Amino acid sequence: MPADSLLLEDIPQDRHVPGDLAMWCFILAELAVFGVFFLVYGYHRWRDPALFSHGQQQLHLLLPTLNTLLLLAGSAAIVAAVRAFALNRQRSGRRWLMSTMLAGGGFLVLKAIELGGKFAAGITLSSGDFWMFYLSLTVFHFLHVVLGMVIVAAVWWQARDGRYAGAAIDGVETAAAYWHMVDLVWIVLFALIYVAR
Amino acid sequence: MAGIVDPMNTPAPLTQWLLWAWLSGLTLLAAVLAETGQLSQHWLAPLVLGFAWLKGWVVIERYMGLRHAPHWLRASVHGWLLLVTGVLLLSFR
Repeated sequence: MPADSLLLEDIPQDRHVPGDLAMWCFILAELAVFGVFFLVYGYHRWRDPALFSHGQQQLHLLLPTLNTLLLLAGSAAIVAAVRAFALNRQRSGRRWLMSTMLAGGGFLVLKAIELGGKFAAGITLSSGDFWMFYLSLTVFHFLHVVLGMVIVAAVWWQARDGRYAGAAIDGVETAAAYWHMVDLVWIVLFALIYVAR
Repeated sequence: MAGIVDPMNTPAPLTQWLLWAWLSGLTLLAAVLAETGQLSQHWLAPLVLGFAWLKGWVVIERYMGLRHAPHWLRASVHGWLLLVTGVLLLSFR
């Protein structure tokens, strides 16, 4: 078993906030908003499980499953980017940031295809409670992926100019924290909307 | 010094691959179980929400790096995940 084991390695005593504290306040606010959204969804599902189950049966799992894998790959890539910059491996760090953006771009394309199919089938916010939640939650999350890509792109651009060469890498950690928040929300959303039927 | 990240606080490359494989594997397993319909909703919903909690726990601890963060921040994000997955579990009857 390697010293850096999956879950049980020793945790140093000097704790620090990964990235900018202001970003973490923003992340906690975002989680609160999504949390309320999820709980309201749960309440409505509890009241009318047949309606929600019927709607979920009409969702195909291929695209959302691929999208989950893409977001997880993006998260893994940005973890690698943080480590690369911490080791002052600039080129490697920039490549991992680019990988995160590619994964995010793939997510957006697949999500646009999925949503386009629903709109083409005449599904709107007025098509019932389930579809109202489905469209609201997935589009709201979609916008967060877009924002995450903008943040990662900004960090990548700064990294090209040597912003993180042998210096503090708060910006990279901050972008990573936001990207992981987007991933965390999708993990719950994927289970709730698509899989738990 | 603020902003200087100890590389030892980030997952090593092998660990990164293992974490990614673990998270992806749980995702595929949940999708296969839902698609094949081998489990009734009575079992499927708790199982996939449990998977979601487990995946979220790994993201919070290892990807976000909150295992090295102040306790208030770590507890806040874990509390959010536990509250959301726990209450949603109750919504499936």
